[in-house]
Amino acid sequence: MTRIEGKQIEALLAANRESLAPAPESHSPQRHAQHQAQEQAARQIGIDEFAQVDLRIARITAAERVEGADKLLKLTLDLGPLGVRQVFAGIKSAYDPAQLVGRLTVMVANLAPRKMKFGISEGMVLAASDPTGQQPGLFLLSPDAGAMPGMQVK
Amino acid sequence: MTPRKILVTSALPYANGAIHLGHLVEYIQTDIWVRFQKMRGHECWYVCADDTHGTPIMLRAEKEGITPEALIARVHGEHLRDFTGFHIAFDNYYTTHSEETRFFSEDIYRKLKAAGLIEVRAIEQFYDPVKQMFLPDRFIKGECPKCGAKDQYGDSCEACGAAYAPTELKNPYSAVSGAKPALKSSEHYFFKLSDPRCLSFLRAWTRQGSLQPEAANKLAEWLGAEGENKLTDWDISRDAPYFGFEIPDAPGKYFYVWLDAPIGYMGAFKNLCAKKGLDFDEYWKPGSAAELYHFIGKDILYFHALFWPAELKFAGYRTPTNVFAHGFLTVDGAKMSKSRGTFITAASYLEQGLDPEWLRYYFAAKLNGTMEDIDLNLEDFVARVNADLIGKYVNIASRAAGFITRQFGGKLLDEPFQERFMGSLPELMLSAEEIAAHFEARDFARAIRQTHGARRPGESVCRSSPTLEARETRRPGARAAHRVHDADQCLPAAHAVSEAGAAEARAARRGVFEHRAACLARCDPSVAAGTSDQPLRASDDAHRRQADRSAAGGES
Repeated sequence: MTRIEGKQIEALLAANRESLAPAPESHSPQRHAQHQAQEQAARQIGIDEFAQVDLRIARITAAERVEGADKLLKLTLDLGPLGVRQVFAGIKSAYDPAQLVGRLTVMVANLAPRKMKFGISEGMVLAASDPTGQQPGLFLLSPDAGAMPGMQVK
Repeated sequence: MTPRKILVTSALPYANGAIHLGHLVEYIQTDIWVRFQKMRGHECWYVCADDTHGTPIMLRAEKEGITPEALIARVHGEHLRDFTGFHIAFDNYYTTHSEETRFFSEDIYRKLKAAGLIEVRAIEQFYDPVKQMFLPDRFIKGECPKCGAKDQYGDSCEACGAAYAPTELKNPYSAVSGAKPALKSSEHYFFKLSDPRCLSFLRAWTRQGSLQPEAANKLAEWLGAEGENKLTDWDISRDAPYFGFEIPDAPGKYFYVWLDAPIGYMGAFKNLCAKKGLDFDEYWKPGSAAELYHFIGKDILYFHALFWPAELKFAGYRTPTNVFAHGFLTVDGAKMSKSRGTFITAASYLEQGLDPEWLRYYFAAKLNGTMEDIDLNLEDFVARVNADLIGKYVNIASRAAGFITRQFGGKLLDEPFQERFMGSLPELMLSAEEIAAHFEARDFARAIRQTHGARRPGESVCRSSPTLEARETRRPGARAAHRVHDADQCLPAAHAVSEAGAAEARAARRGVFEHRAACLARCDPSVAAGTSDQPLRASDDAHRRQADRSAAGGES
């Protein structure tokens, strides 16, 4: 048995933060999980801070399940002039991969690539969910008709 | 000591979600207690199961495009994998979707019906007009009718602990569609908990004296004063569509959780009986001499300490010996939060390569047998594990192991010496009994604290040191033994410089225990249960007592 390193705890928290999809709530009347506190109102930021996030329209050109991952789908995203990205998204619980192919969504295009267990993830797609986890469901964002891959969202 | 027969359960996790650190408080607490009982030589069985029925399972399977059976089989595998990863040593981890559970559900239902405790009534229940189905209690949310807390489930309030019917909620909404649910009538089956027989039985049962004080207070409040009857009848049926057991002679009606999930305890044990050739009735018949304990979270106390004992009593089974409720887990002083990453799943902890013994030790050091919440403070977690478990305990164990190998050919104490050694440590032996009592009372925190203290008396009896003995009888010329011996002789004075020689001397003196303790820290059940083929006097009572002290994963 060895010592705990602080970075192991950080990695643990990161691993539990990374998934967009909250695990399904345990609704067992016999035993249920603790429920989360309402999150505190988010800290306010200025327009400059927001502008640092490069949001782009992306077309999902391929979506597949990831072997060994409970929550992830592997998405191939076409950003038009910005090229093609591979992103692992925690949306498996809410979407059948086949439904996703061809649709447009919004992604963070300048997120630092992150090495995950299943490969490199080069960004993230945006989806809505209840931050308290009390309302089920996960809803991928879509632009109105006419948006093209690579367009900036601001 | 006459071996006791003990059946222990942990609450059934629902087959619709991952095991997380909040769950693990209970399973680790139970597992330590069960290991303790087994090491004491008692016949102790630990059973649990996945709670597999209900609308949430049905809806989720539908969403995933698989059968509910396939879903619960997959989740069962995940749950058992996670529990095994944390060394939770169930004797049987079963499922409520079993023929055994179906048998006992029907049996209990029929007996309660024959006793006149089942009633059919048309009730109005919330119906989701969008999803076109009746809504389970926990799929309806709203404000607590008692304290006004928001977003509470339809059966009980997490803020004030009140239990109520979903129709009592203020501003209800469907958790499935978000729509405002409408009331719709349907026939339901009820267990008449308000029957005077149940009330008088429960008044007596809850005053038996062994319940946790906070639990007894809560139950007294729920039961009401003498002459009052605050108990309400419990709805035990649900309408199709539903995933569960159909009620006999009631097509389209299914047993709701109250009449199948806890019966899963019986189903799991019945299944174990078949595997091990045990006598089920010996544990479950009325007046059974065997003990039955349910470890639960405080959120399901009402159910386990009122409904369940009454259900068992009037169906002709024994009632629980006791119900042990624990508090909730907070992380860094707050409820677990997905956005902060503190909603930590068991699988992620193991996947990140963290040692399960760290968490077992930390929880053990915090658990005191009450219903108080326990906090996983991550900074304290790191500090405590590194200082106590690694810095002191593992360090000494590893030194002792090296020393025993180098100086004593890997052999531990002789039997005659062992007796002398124990005889000269009355305080330690007394301590061992007290520590065992703390384990029995689930006050693991105190057991660990006293284990710290119990080590000190050993340092004052250096003259009967095994290293001295060893030096004279085995390796008279060994330089290391000389050094150790010298350090040992002046140990009281050499406290400050004890790191080099004296630590080894102490280590060797305790070597026999440390080895067992080290095995326990690894939670090797064969060693913990005294069946190892290591050169130990495993049956020695003193060893066992000593090992008991370490059941929490090692002294610190």
